Amino acid sequence: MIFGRGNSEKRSVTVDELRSTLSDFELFCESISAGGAAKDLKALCDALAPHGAKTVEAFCAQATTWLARSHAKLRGGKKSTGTRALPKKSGELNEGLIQSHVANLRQANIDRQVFTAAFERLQSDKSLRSPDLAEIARRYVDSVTKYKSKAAALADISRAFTERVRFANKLR
Amino acid sequence: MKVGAFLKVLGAAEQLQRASGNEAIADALKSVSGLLAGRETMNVSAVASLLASVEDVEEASLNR
Repeated sequence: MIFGRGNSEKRSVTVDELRSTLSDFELFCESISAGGAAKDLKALCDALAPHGAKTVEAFCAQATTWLARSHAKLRGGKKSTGTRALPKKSGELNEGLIQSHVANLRQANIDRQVFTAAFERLQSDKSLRSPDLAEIARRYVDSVTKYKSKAAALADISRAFTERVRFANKLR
Repeated sequence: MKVGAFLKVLGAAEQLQRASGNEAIADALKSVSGLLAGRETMNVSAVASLLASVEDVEEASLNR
């Protein structure tokens, strides 16, 4: 039987189990000459392969968060849609984005792993403009520095984190 | 194939599983369909690439 695995009880299904079902369905689609559907089912199976050990619920929760973030970035990066995350006026700051990044950085406290993750998200966020990044740096570092470049602001954020870690270590 | 059409394929698979008494798998298929909802105009291959890269971000942040 292609589809009936005869398991009616409610339980957590792993991604690998789901992939097995999708593969069965892919074979079925091939057998009825639905090549397009079969190809896409294979693509989905392949995409899910790295997540095989997770439960489908866990994967979906993780993917939902990630896809939402990536969608937000895409919207922020497009210039022609008129729905840019960036304010159009040159002097306006993207307050929502700034607060989000500052919160991420502060949340790290002196945990280097968390900080590095937040810092790299900050570095890779193409929707941030130089004034936004400078404002993030000023809020995180608690300074009034006028940064000349994104690199300078990022370097100051990194330096401030190192100082915080050193200070915390001294107190121990 | 566009996601809109592909969702119908997944919906059919879900119905078959439910009819076979495999509620857990049917629910899993429904969850995955939920991930694709709202992206009907995208190609499945593009969404598949997105799903494949979910792990990269997780692993990257864990390895840092």
